Amino acid sequence: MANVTKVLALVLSGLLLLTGCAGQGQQEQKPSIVVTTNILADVVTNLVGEQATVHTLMPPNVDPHSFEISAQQAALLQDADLVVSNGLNLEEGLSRQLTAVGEEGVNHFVATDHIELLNVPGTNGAADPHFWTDPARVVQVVDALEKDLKQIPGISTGPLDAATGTYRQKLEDLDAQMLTAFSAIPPAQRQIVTNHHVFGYLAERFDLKVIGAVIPSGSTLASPSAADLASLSGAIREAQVSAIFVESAQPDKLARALASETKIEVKIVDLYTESLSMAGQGAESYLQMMQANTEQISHALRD
Amino acid sequence: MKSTKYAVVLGLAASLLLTGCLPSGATEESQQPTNEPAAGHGAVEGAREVAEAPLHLATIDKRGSAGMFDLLNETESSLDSLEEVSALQTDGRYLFASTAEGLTILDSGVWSWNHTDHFHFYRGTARKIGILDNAPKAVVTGGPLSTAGSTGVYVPATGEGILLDNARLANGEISQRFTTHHAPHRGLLAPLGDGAISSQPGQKPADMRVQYLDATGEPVAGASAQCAEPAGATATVAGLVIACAQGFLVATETANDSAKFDLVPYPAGTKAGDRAESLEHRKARPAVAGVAGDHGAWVLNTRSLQLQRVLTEHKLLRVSAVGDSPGHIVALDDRGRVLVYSTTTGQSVGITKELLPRTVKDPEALRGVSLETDAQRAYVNAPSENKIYEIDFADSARISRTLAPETSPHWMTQVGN
Repeated sequence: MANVTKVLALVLSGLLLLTGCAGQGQQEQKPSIVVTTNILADVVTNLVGEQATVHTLMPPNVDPHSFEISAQQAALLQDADLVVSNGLNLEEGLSRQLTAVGEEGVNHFVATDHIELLNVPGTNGAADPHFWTDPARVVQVVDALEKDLKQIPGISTGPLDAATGTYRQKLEDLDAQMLTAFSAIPPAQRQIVTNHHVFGYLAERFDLKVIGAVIPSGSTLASPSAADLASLSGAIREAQVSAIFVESAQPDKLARALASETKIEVKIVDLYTESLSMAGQGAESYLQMMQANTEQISHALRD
Repeated sequence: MKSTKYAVVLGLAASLLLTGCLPSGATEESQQPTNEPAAGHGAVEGAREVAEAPLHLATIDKRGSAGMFDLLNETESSLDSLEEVSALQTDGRYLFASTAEGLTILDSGVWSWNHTDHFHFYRGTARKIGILDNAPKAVVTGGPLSTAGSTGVYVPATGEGILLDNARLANGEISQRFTTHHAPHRGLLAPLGDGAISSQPGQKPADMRVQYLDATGEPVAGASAQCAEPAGATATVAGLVIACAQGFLVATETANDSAKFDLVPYPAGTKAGDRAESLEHRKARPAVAGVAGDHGAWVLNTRSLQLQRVLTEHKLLRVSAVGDSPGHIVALDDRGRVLVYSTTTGQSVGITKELLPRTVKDPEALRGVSLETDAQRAYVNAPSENKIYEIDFADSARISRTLAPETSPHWMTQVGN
C-alpha cells in the first residue's frame, strides 16, 4: 500500500511540473484575453482561435452572480490585453476587480453596453443581464467585440475577420433554427412556467410568455400539502401546459407530489441557464447550450 | 496512516516545485510552511450550486457526536464530534458550539446566498474550522450572508468581542476584522454593513448604549442609541434588531457609512419579566418573535416597526416568526405542544398534541430544545423523546414528518438556509 501511494505521488509531482512550465512558455508569446463567464469565453475563443490565450475566470457550473476570484486570477486581470465581461451586475462578486481594471488602463469590453436592454419584469427598471438567451443580441455583441479585438497588438485582422464571419453565420443559423422551432409551437402553448430568471430576452425575441412560479422546497415533498404546491399548480393551471421548466433537486418527487396533491400531470424539464456544462454533458459550447434548450422547450410544448 | 503522511509530504514538494514556474512574486508566499496538503483549502472552491436550498438539521447527541440530516432526501452524514456542548448557535451555515474547549466552529458545507430578488444555493464539504478559546458562553450574531461580511462573537464573562471575517471562515480560517474590549456585561457584538454594533456597559442601566463601529472598529460619531440590558440581536432584511430593556431597537445602515436607530418601545406598564430575552425568526425575514414572560409572545415587524403582543393560555418556552404573508408564528408551550398563530388574521391556526411531554419536565433536556422555521416548515427537537417533529404551519399545525436521526437530537439547529 505504501509503495503504491509513493509511486502515485511521484507521478503526480512529475505531471504538475510539466504542465506548470509549458503553460508559462505559451503565455509569454500570445496576447492574453481574460473573460469572466464561460459563455462569453466560448464566444471570444471562436473569434480569436489560436491567436490569443483566452482565460476564463468562471469554470463550468458556477454561478456568475456570486463568483469570487483568487489572487492569481486578479493578477491575470491586471496583465490582460483585453478584459471581457457581461456587465449589469452579473459579475457582482468581481465588481471591485473589474472597476480596478478600468482604472489601471486595461482595455475592458462590457457585452451589455452593445445591445438593446430589457428590464427584469416586476422591478423598477432594473436591466436584465441575461442577454445571451437571444442569439440576435449575441450577434450584436460579436460585431462590437470584433472591433476591440482588432486593436490588440499581435492579433492579425485577416484570420480574425474570417473566424468572425464564420461564427456570425453560425449564430444567424441558430437564430433561424430557433425561430422555426418556436414558431411550430401553437401560440396558445408558447408559455414557459419556470423558476429561472434568465429567459426574458428569449421570450421577447421568440414571442414566448414566461410565467414565474415558486417551486416548493424538497423538504416538503415527502409529505406535501396543497398549500405547498399552490404557486406552482396555479401557474400550471393558468398556462394549461403539459411541461414546466423548473430546477428541482428531485424532479421525479416533485412530479409525483403534483400528481397526487393537485391531480396535475406535467413533465418536468431542466434547462441550461447561466453557465456552460462540463465537456460531454450537453452544453459545452454556447451554440450547443442554445440548441439543447431550444430542442427541450419546443419538444415539450408541442407535445 | 504512515503511507498517507508520505503522500502528503510528496504532494507538498510537488506544489513547491510548481511555483518555480510562476512569476517571482508568487514564490515567497507559496513557500511559507503549511500544515495543509495542497488541496486543503478546496472546500469553497469545491462547492457546487444546487437547485434549491440544501436544508439540513444538524444534531448533537449527549456524548457530543454530531451529525447532519438532509431534509430533502433523508440521508445522514456525520460531523466532527464535540466535547461537553453547552450551547449551539448558527448563522445558517456555520455551527458555533460552546464546548469544553471554547467556541468550536464547524462548517456545515451547505448554505444559501440571498441575491435580493432570488437565491442561489450551495453544497460543499462539511469540516471543522477551529476553536476560538477564551470564549465561554459566547453570544454569536450572524449577518445576512455566510460567505461575505462578518459574524459577531461576544463573551459576556470577559467583555471581549471579536468580529470574524466571513470570507476567511469560508476558506477555513478563523480571522478577525477587529476586536472590542469593555468591562464584562451582558451585551453583544453584531455585524451591520461594513462595520458592527457593539454594546457599551454603564454605571446604571440608563447609561448603557449601543454604538456603531466602522469597518476598522472605530466608533462613528453620532451613531449610537440608548439600550439597557441588550438581550439578543438578529439580522433581518430590514436591519439589525436588538432587544433592549426600553424596547426593540432597529439599526440600519445609512448612505454615509453610518447607522441610524429606531426604537419601538414596550407598551407602558410592561413588567421587566415580560420583556423578550431572545429573538427568533426565519432567517433574514423582517418579522421576529420573542417570548413575553408568562403571557405569550412579542412579534415585531422590523420593516413597518409594528409591535404586536400575542397572548396564550400557557407559558411559551420557544417562539419563532415565519415572516410569510399570513404572519405565522410558531411556538412551543410548557405542556410540550406546538402552537401556530396567524398575526395577519389574529387567529390560532392549529395546535398539536403534547409532543415533548417528558422534555418539558426536564430542565437539562429542555436546554437543548430549539424551534427552527424555514419557508415551509418548522422543526422542534424533543431530546427526551429522541425525536424531531416537522410541523406544516400553513396546514393547521399538521405534523408532516416525525424524524429520528441516528445522532440523537440533544441539540439541534437548521443549516442550509
